[in-house]
Amino acid sequence: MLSTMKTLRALMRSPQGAVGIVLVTLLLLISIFGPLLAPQDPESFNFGARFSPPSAEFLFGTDWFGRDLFSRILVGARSTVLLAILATVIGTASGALIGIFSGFVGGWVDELIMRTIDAIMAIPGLLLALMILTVLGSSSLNAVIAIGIAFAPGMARISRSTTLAVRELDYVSAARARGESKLWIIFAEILPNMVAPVIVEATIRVAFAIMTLATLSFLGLGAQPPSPEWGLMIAEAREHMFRSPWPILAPGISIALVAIAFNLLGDGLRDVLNPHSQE
Amino acid sequence: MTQTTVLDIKDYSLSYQTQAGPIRILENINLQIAKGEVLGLVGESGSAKSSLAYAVMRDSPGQIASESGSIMLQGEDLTQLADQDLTRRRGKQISMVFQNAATALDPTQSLGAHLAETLRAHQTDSTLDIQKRVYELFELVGLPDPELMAKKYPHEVSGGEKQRVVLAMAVSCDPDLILFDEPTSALDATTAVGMLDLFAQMQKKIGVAGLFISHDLGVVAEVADRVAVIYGGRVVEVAKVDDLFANPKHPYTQSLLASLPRPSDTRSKRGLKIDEGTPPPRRGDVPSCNFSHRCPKHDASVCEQSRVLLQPHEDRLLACARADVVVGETSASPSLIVPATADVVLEVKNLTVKLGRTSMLDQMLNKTPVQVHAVNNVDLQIHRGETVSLVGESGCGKSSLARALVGLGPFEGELLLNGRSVETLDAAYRADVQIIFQNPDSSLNPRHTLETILSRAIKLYRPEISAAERGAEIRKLLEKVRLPAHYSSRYPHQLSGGEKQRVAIARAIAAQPKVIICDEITSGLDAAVQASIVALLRQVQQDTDVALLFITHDLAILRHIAHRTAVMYLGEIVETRSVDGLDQRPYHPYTEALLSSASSPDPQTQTRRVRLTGSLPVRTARLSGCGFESRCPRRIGNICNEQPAPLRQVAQSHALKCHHETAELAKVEPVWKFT
Amino acid sequence: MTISYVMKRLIYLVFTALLVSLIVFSVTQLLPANAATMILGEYATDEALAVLNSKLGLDDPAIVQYFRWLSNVLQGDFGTSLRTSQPVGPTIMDALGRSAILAVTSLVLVCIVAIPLGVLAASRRGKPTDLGVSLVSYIGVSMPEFVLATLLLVWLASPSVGLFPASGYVPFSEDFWGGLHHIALPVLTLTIVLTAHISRMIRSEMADTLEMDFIRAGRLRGLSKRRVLFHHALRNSMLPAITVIALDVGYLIGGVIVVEEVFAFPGVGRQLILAIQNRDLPMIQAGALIMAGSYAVANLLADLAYGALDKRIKY
Repeated sequence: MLSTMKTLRALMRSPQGAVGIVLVTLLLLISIFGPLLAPQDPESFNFGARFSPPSAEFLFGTDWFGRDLFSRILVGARSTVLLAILATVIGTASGALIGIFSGFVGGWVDELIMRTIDAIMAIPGLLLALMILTVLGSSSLNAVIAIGIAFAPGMARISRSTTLAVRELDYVSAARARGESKLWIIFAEILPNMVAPVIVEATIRVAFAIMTLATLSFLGLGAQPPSPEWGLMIAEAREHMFRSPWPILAPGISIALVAIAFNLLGDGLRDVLNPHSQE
Repeated sequence: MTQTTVLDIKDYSLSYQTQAGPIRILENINLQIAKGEVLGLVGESGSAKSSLAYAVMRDSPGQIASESGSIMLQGEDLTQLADQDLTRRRGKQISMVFQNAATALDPTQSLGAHLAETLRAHQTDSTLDIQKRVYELFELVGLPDPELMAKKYPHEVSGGEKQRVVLAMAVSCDPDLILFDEPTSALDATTAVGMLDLFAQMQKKIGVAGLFISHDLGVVAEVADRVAVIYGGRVVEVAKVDDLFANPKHPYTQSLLASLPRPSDTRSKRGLKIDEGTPPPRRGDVPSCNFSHRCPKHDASVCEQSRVLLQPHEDRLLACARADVVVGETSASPSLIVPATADVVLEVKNLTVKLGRTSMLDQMLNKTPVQVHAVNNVDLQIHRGETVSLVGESGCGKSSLARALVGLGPFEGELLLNGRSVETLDAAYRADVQIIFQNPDSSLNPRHTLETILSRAIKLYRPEISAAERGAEIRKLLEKVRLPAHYSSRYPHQLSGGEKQRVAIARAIAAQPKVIICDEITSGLDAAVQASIVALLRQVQQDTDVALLFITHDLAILRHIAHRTAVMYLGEIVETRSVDGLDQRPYHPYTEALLSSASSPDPQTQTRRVRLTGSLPVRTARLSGCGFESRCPRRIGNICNEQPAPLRQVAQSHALKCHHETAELAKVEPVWKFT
Repeated sequence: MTISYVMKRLIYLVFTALLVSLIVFSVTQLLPANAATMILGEYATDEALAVLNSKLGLDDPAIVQYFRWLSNVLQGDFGTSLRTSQPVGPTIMDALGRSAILAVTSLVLVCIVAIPLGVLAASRRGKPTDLGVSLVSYIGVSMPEFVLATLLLVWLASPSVGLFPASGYVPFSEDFWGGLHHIALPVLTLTIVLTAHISRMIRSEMADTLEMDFIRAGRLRGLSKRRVLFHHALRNSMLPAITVIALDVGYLIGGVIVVEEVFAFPGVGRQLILAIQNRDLPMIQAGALIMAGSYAVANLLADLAYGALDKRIKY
C-alpha cells in the first residue's frame, strides 16, 4: 500500500526508526528460522565443554551441561519473541474493541465499562498476570493469555480516549448528519484514523510483553524446563551463576536487545505517524 | 524618514533548512520604524509576516540555512548580539504582544506574578516598588481592581483581559519597540475594538514605536501610520495608511484590496475580485518578481530583466518594474444576488438547545445540573432561494443551532420542512438539509479519497444512481465546484484550503438539498479565497434555488451573499433584517455595536464606534430579562433585567427585540458615514 | 481544591477497592480445587470433605462467602494460611513492613535522581548530554528487573567479590548497617529500572512543555534561561510528572515481587509467590489485596497532590 511505503521511507530517515526496523526485521527472521540457523543441537550435552566462554565453536559459550548457548538463544527466540507478539495482539485487539465500543456508545454503558477497567488497572500488571496464572496453571501459553488479559484494560483506555477525540471531529459529525449507519461510522470513519496510535502503542507493548513473559518464566509460572525460553534459562542458570556469567549474560542481553529494538521502532513510528511532525 | 529611527531592517534575508532543501522565508527586507510610529505589516497566510517579527526578536522556530543583512535597533545590530545580550534587551528594549494570550501566559502563575517577574528581570533601579508598579500597569491597560486582578490566574479571566495583561507586560519596562503579532485575531469583534482603542491610547501616552502585524487590513488601517504589504516573503509596497488604501499601486495590493468587502459595497454596487492564485515559489530559482505568475501587468521583457527591488516611487516605496503602466484592470462584476422566493422551506419555532450533562457520581452526590441554554426560543424562517446570514460572536449559540438543525444534538421546539412538521430527522430530512463545517481539514476524513467522500453522499441520498454511474456524477459534482475531474483520486491533504472547502460544498450539493447550513465556512480563509467561495455559493444558489443559512462572525462579507441577516446574542435572535437596508436605522443596540466593531480599510467610509464593556454572561433558566442587558450601552433600567424584551416589527422583513420604542432607536446616529 | 474534590476521590477509592476485592476474590474462587481439598489432600474421603466444607462455610453461595471474607478482612482477619497454619494477617503485615522499606527507599532515590536527569536531558535537547541520558534510560527500560538483579548479584555479590550479601534480610532494629547491606542490591535494582522509566517520562513532559507558547513568551520578555526552565517549564511539567510517578508505583510493585524473589527478601512479593506455588488461598488473597491497596492509595495521594497544585481543578 502507498501509505505503508511512505511510512516505511519516513521511518528509515529517522535514526531510531531505522535501527528499530532493521533490528526487528532481523529478530523476526531469527524467530522464524532460528531452529534452522542453529549451528548445534540446543539440547545436546557436551560435558567436555561445560561453562566454556565464547569461542569460535560456541559463539556465546556453553552452560552447565555444555549446551551451546548461541543455539539455545536462536531456538528460544521463537518462544520468547513470537509469543510476546501473540500476547500483544490478543491484548491490543480485545482492548481496542472494548475501547472503541465504550467510547462510541457513551452514556452509562461507557461509564460502567470504564469504571471496571479502572478497577482492573488498579491492580499492578504483573500482579494481575500472576493471579490469572494461579487460576490457569503454569505454562507458556497460559502466560501469553495472562499477559494479553493484563494488557487489554490499558489498551481499552487508550483506544477509548482516541475514539472520543476522533468522534468529536467534524468528519464524524458530517457522517452522523448524513445519516450513515453506526457500522460505517465505526469501521470507515473512526477506525482508520485510530490505527496509527494503536500500532505505536502496540509496538512499545511488545517490548513490555517480552520482558513480562521472561519474568513469568523466571518465576516458574511460564515456560517449563527444558524449554530454551530466555527467562527460564536465566532462572536455571542462577544455580551456577558464580561459576560462569555467560549462561545468564547471553539470554539477559538478548531480552534487553529485543526490548530495545521494539522500543526504538515504537518511538520511531510515533514520530513518523504523529500528524504534527508531518511537514 | 522622520527624526529618529528606532528599528532599521537593512536588506535582511532568511532561509530555513528543511528535509527537501533550503526554503526562502524572507528576502531583501528593508523597513524602518521611527520613534512613536506604528508600521502595519499586512499579508495573506504564508506571507512570512510573523517570521519577520520572530526574526527581529531573534527567536527562529526553524533551523536557519542562511541569513544576511542587518536588523538595527537603536543603532545596534541585533543579528550580531550574543544570547545574554539579547536576553537583556528582550522585554526591556523590545517586547512582543502575541496572537493568543491564552497560551502566552503560564497557567500555574498568577497574573500579578507575570508582571512582577518581568519587572524584576530588567530591574535597574533597586528602589522601584515592584508591587506598586504592577498595580499601576494593570490600571494603565484598563483592568479594574488591580489588586484583585493581580491575584487571579489566567484561566480565571476572559480572553480580552488576558490580552490586556500581555500588553501590560509588553509596556512594563518602557520598551523602544513593541511587536504586535495578530494581537486581535483571537478575540471577538467587540472585544477587539476595545483592544485597538487601548493600543492607540497607550501609543499616545508612551510614544513607543510599533510593528503591527495582521492579516486584517481593517485593523491595520485603524492603528497604523504607515503600512507595508508583504507577499511571499518580500515587501512589495510601503506607504502611508490613507495613500495605500485609497490608491494601491502594486498589482498585489490592488488585487488584495479588490477582494475585500467594504461597508459601502451595497451603495456602490461593488463586487469582489476573485483571485485565487498559487503561492509564490520559495525554493529553487529566485524569480525577479515573485508576483509575476499572477500579475495582470506582467511583461517578461521588462519584469524579468533584474531583481525587482523596493524603490521610492512618488509618495511611497514600491517593488514593481512597471509601476507607471496602468492595465485596464477588469473590475469585478457587482455581486448580483438573485431575489429569493416567498415560499418558506425551513421554519423553526421556539427552538431551544440545552447543554450540560451530569456524571453518574454527580447524580449520586445529588447535585442538580446547571443547564446552559445555548439556544433559547429561537424562531426563524428561511425561504427557497434565500440566504439568511446568522451573525454573532463566539459563544452566542449559532453553531449549536446549526448542529441541532442537522440532527447532531437534541433540541426542544418545532421544525417545519416545506410546511410539514418534522417529527424525526429521517433520511429524507437529512438529504434536504445539509451542513458544511468551518474547517475542511477536520470535516473531510483524511483517510478517504475525494471519490469515497463524494460517493457516500450519492449512495445515501440518490439511490436511483447506480454504482456504475456514480463516477460520472462525481465528475459532474467536481466540475460544479470548479475542481478538475482527476482530483477524485486525491486525498484531502493534497488540496489547498480553498479546494478542500469546495469539496465540502460538492458533498453538500450531492444530495440536491433544499437547505444548506454553512457554519463559518469562510472564516479560516484568505480574502481572495473567501471571495471565490462566496461566488461559488451564489452560483449554486442561482442554479438550484437552494436556501442557505450562512453563519458567520464576519459582518463585512454578508453584503455579498445574504438577503437577510439574523443577529444572535446569548442564544437568542435579537434582530432580523434585510441586508439591503443594513445602512438604515433603527438597530438593536447589540446589532449597532456589532456593526460598528467591524473595521474596514475603506477610505470612503467612516465608522462610528460603539464600545461594549463586560463579557458574555451564561444563559441558564434563571435569566428572566433581556440577555444583552448586562452590557447594553442603551440600557433603560430595571425593566431590562426583569422582563423579556418585546418583539417589535419595524418593517415587513425587519423585527427586533428591545424595550426601547423603534422610533427611539431610529434616532441614534448612523453607524456609517459615506463620503 | 475543595472538600467535595477530596470526597469525590475518597468515594472513588472505596469503589475501586471494592471492585478490586471482588476481582481478587473471584479469581481465587475460580481455582479448580477449594480450600478443603487443599487441607485434606487429594485422597480425602467425600464425607470428610463435606464436613470440612460446611465447617469452613464453603457450601454457602459465592456471594455469601465473599461478604463473609470481606467483613473479616475489614476487621483485619485474613484467615489462616493453608501452608503454615499460622494466621495470615500478622505474617503479611510483617512482610508488608519489609517490602515498604524497599519500595519507599527506592521511590525516594528515584525522585532524587530521575527528575534532575529528565530536566537536564530536556533542556539540552539533541545535545550529547541528552543523547547520553536517553541511551542509558533506553537500556534501563528494556532490562527486566530479574535480569538486572541477577547480573548485579553475579558482579557484586559473588563469593570472590563479596561486596554485598546475596540474599536475606536483617532487621534494622537489630543491625542497622547489616540491614542497609541487605537492602542495598534490591534497592539498587529497583532504582535503576525506575529511574530509567521516570527520567524518560520527565524528559518528554519537559520537552512538550518547552514547546509551549508561554515558554517562548517568557523567553521573549527577557526572563533568564534558569527562570524559564525551573520556574515555568518545571512547574508545569510537575503536574503530569506526579501522575506518571504514581502510575509507576504499579511497576514498582511488580518490581518488588521480582526483586524479593531474586534476593530471597522476605517481603509481600516473596510471600505471594510462595503462596501461588503452594496454592495457599488466604495468603494469595491477602497479598494481592494488600499490593493493589497500596497502589490505589498511591494513586489517591497523587490525585490529591495534583488537586492541591493545579489551580485549575475546581470540582
